Order: sequence, then structure tokens, then C-alpha cells
Amino acid sequence: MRMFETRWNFLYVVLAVLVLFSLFAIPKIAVTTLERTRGQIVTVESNET
Amino acid sequence: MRLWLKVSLVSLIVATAAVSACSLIMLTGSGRSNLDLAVQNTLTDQQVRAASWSTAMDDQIDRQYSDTAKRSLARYLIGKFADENTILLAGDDVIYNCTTIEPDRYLPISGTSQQYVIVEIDGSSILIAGSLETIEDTDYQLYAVRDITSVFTGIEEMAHRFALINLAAVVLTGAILMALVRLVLKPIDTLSRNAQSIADGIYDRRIPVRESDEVGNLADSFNRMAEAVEIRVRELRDEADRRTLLMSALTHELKTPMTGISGNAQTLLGTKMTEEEKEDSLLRIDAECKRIERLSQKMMQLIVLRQNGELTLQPASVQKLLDGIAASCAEQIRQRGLTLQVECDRDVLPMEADLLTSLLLNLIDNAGKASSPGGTIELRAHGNVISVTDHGKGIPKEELDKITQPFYMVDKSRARKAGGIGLGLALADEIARLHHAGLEFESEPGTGTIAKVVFYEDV
Repeated sequence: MRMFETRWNFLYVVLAVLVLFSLFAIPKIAVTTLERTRGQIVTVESNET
Repeated sequence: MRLWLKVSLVSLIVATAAVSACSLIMLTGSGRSNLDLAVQNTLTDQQVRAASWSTAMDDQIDRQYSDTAKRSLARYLIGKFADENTILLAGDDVIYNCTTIEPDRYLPISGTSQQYVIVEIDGSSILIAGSLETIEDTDYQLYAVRDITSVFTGIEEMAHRFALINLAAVVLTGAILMALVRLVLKPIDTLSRNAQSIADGIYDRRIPVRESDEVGNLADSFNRMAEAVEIRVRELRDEADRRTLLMSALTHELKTPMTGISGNAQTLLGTKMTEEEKEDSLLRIDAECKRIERLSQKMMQLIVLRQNGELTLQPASVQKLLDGIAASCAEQIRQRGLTLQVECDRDVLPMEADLLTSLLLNLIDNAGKASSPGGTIELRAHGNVISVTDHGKGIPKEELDKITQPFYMVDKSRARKAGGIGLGLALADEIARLHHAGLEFESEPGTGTIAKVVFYEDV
């Protein structure tokens, strides 16, 4: 019974991780995705513009 | 952990995960499209300026021009089409550059296609787009430079705003979810507390059923179960009470003849008696033994009847039953100086004839004991009722509810003198119950008593 109780308490940890992820990780991921385009020389085909 | 908390937490986790995933998709999509727009605008701008400048150069340049003259013309014409972010190079020579950026360091153009690159210069994100224009064997690199730091900072700001909105949404959704789930699961909580009460022996608790959903159905089923348990427990208690009462009454009833037997035996053993006195004592012992025998027989009948849940009832003629009873008790009635009148307007009734005969003989016997010589006893069958009426001394109203209890006698001394043991009406009541009927009594002291066997089922 105590083991099951501990298992359910794990939900608090999952929720805390998700909240922290949405607070800190998501902005970081979004900015990093854009920053990956830096420094890459892109050649534009003539019909692109 | 309580159920409502588990459900709320799981829902909140799913909602937070969904909102986080949506935020991430929206942010990256929005950032990408903003960046694409900025790149597209810069490329178009660069392309337009390059086309305009190269057309003007083609129109005005002369093969005879020296390199210096050609570069002066190029500078003059680019000044007409350029803005402050346009850069024109001819090889390593800077022809036009109002910025501090050296674009060929970041984007050395090769080939004739348009190219671009995003670089970070002094903490700013700079988009450099350029193309190679060849006029009169001279290669010119025309660049357009744009500061797109706002695209990056915009996405970063939006991401932080989204994070705060997410946090607020999690808190708000959590509060609403917990309140709602708690409200929805409240009947289950009540159900649990009431089940606990029943387990503790409180059987009269019920749950108010307000909804017709699954929880409402569960509450309704629980109420019905609680009612069944309450009825069963009450029946068991009543049965236990009846047994205790029966045992105490039986013990008491056995005590009287046993005392008589013991007293007479001691007298026989310890006293010098004449033959007549001895015979008298032995007769008294015999009478008490017969009384105990009758008591045990009646008790056995009562126990057997109570153990029988159901009887197989057969439709039988009521007239025949009443005639048989009249014949059986004719001698007894005659000895008491009474008259028995029989009336019947009922054809058949489902019955176990021997038991019903025993019941009615019991009622007639009681009526005979209560009547004075010369009196009349009426045995009637009318509709669903068979009644025995006497015009004897009657029964006080407060005694009527108790007379079917085992060993209960209205006038104990008189009943014992008449050979009664107080089990006749208890037996009659059991027989009536097995016939899906009940015993009812109407009586007025000094006027008489009507004992009715009322068949409850429409037969």
C-alpha cells in the first residue's frame, strides 16, 4: 500500500518537471532552433526569389 | 492520495504536456516564418537593387573607359539605387559601403546565384545577402545587409511570455480541475463514508441521489443495498430477540412442572404417607410429566414450522375444511355446553389442510375456553377471511398485540388450569404466515373476540 502511495506521489515530480520544462526549456529550444541558421551560407536558386 | 487528487494531477500533467508541446510548435514555427520573411525581403531588395544598378551600368559604360572611370561610374550609379545598407565591392576594392561591416569576410560570393548568410556581429544578428554582377569583364559584388536581431529577440521574448502564460494556465487549470473533479467525485466520497458507517454498524445512512449518471446509479444501488442490509440485520435482530424470548419463556414454563415434580418426589421420599396420599402425589407427578411432554411436542412443532420457509399449498374446498373442523371439535363443544355455527361463502383456498385445521381448532379451543356454557361460537369463511367469533369475556386491548407471543397467556392461572401452555396462538401465527396470511384479533372485554385469519394474497 505504501509502495503504491509512493508511486502516486511520483505524479508531483512529473508535474514539477513539466512546469520547469515549459518555463525554461521551451524558450531555449525555440531560440536554439533559430540560432542554428547562423553561419550557414545559403545559395538561392533563381526561381526562389 | 485521495482519488480526486490523483485524477486532477493526471489531468493537469496531460494538459501541461499538451500546452508545452503546442507552445514549442508555435514558437519554432513563428520564429521560422519571421526569419523567412526577413530573408525574403532582404533577398528581393538586394535583387532589385542589383538588377537596377547593372542595367544602368550596361547602358552607360563604354569599353574605352579606364578602370578608374568605370569604378567612378559604378560608385555614381550605386549611389542612385542604394540605401545605407547596400555595399558594392569590385574584387577587394570597396566602391560603396556606408556600414562598418566587411561582407566579403562572411559571404565570399562564388557563382552567379544569389547567396545569404546570418552572422553575429557585436552581439547583433546580421543578415548579409549578395550576388555577383559581371559588367565589361569586371566582377562586382553587390550586398544588402539587414540587422535582424529583432527576429531573434522577438522569439525569445515571445517564448518567455508563453512560459509565463503556461505557468498561469497550469495554476488556473489546476485550481479549476481540482474543484471540478472534487465536485464530480463528491458522491463517491459520500459513498465511501456511508460504506464506512455501515461497516461500523450504522445501517440507516443513505446517499442523496441527485444525478442519473454512473455515480448516481452507483449511489442508488448502494442505497438499495444498504436498505437490504438494514432489513436483513433488523430481521436477524428480531429473530435473535424472539429466540432469546422463547428460550427464557421456555425455561420459565419448564420450571413450574419441574418444581411440582420435584416437590411431590421429595414428599414421597421424605414423608410417611398413606397409600391414597402416595397415589395422589404420583398422579400429580404424572400430570406434570404430561404437561412437559405437551410442551416439548408443541415446541417441536413451532420449531419445525419456523424452519419451513415455504409450504406447498393446494387449492382445497373451504366448506369441506370447515365441516371437518366442526366434526373434530363437536365433542369438545358439547362437553363445554356450547354451540358451533358454521357459515361459508368461499369455494376454495390454497392451503395445507392439516395445518389450517390445526390453526382453526386452536382458535376454536381458545374461543371455547373464553365462553361460558350455553354460548355460541361462529366459524365463518367470507372472502379472504376465515374468522372464529366468541361471545365470551374478551381480551383487553393492550394484550392483543402480545397474545401470539410464545408462552404469553392473558390469564396464566386460569389458562394453566385449563391445560394451556401458551403456545397455541404462536403456532397458529406461524401456520398463518406459511399460508401468506396473518392473524388479526378484534375484542371487547365482556363482549367477545373475533379471531381472523386474513389471506393477504388475492387467491
